[in-house]
Amino acid sequence: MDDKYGEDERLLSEIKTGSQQFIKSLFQSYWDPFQAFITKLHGLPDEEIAELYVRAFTTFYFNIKDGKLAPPLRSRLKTYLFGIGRNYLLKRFKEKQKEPIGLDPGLEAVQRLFQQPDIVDYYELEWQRKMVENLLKHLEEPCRKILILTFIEENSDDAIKEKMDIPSEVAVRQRRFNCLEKLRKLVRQRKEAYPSEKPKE
Amino acid sequence: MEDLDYIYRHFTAGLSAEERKTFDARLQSDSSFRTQVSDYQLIFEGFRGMRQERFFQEARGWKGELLADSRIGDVEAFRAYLSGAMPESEKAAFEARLGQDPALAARLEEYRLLLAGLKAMRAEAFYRQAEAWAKELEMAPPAQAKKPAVKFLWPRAVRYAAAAVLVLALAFAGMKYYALSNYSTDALIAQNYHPRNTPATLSGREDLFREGFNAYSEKDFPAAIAFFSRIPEENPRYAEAQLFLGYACFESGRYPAAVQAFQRAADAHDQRFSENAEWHLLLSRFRENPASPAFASLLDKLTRDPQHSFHDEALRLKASLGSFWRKLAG
Repeated sequence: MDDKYGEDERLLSEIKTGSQQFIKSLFQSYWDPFQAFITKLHGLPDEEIAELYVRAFTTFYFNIKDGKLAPPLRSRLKTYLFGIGRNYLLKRFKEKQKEPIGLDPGLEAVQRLFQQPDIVDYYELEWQRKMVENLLKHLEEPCRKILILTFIEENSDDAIKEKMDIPSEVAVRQRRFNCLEKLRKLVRQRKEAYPSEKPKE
Repeated sequence: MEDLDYIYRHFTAGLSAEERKTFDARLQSDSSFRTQVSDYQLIFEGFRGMRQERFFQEARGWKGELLADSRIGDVEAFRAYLSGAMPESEKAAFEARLGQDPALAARLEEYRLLLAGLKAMRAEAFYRQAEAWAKELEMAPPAQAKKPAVKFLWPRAVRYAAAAVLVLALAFAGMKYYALSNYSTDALIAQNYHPRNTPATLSGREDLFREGFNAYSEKDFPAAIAFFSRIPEENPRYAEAQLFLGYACFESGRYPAAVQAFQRAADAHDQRFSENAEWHLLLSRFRENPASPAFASLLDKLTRDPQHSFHDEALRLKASLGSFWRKLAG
């Protein structure tokens, strides 16, 4: 572990396993520096900065949680979060076709860092999310419930066993795989019915 | 089930290096396996998107607390800055922030006016108190040494009070002006009116549509309304024509007609236009009567639908309508 970012790497592993309460406290503690950083780049009303912050923090959290950002770190975690915020800011201005935001030399390192491909955009999975949300509606209970408890609410097999009154954890796994197969059939039908419907590469 | 377990671990980074090699080789050679992986990729990405969305909505709930804390921090900074108690090092950074954030500068100005108003109220209260003391002195047994001193103070107290009342009035006028500029019905509509700049296409032989759009672009609203109204329901561009008819009616102040046109555009269920039509239907109802149940119900619908393209705008509009400034705007 590189000592330079040792503290941040410890924090990173806490974020991966942290409770909702811990994530919320982190969310609150990064707000002030994030607000100051974005204000330095471009004056925006607080309400807009807060909206940008929620998006950036969501991406930040999921990149860590899903292992997209893993040790060894190449920057402070805070810098990583700011970089995501800056990317969203650029995207926002590009969409609104306004003048580009300024960039001072101190931020160039951040800019270079966030041209790395491991930044997953919050919007990138929107198409897949909507597709799966719609297909889940066509899945019968208790299949829908077991998939939501597992993959969305991230319950353990033991918790699912209790919540759904299933005899064993092995039975939970068996049912989940059967339900995933059913969902996959719906995906197949959809792909065959609309072959040109694909997310943007 | 074995394959699925294998695929699932692939997408959740649970494969060993050795397993990954086997996985990649099979992906190259087995087309049915490839199809399966591609289907599950979509499913697991969809689940990931749903988890993100769920977290995003949760974090949005935390946002309100952040802004409240931030406002408190700002007020502390305003007090220090205006009283001259802010350290020089912080002052430079604060002034830079003021220069870059017009909203913060506006809030500082509001705060300055409020302080002036409070001072004025204190001066007014002091004046009343002094008046009471003077009356007491007039009733009390003669105390010759004090009376002239009170008489000497009167003109100055009156001048202070007059100035104080003036400052209070100015403070209120400033706040009222800010509220009207940003939270009146007209101001909220101006902030939220988002007509499509151009039609989906102007090619083809839809002459009525083209002429309608030309008239609308030149702000010849009666002509635009006439052209768009003549496009029949069976025309494939009917939904778009109703949408632009709605814009033309709205921009020329024909709000009931705008409501009808946007409603027809929304009811046509053409995905390209229906959400934009619904948003402008909401604005038209708002313009007609901000207190109407039809407006409240549509606003409620949009704020409850995170998939709607105008969901964020609807949330902001709802927040504005519930704010102190909206009440002050009247």
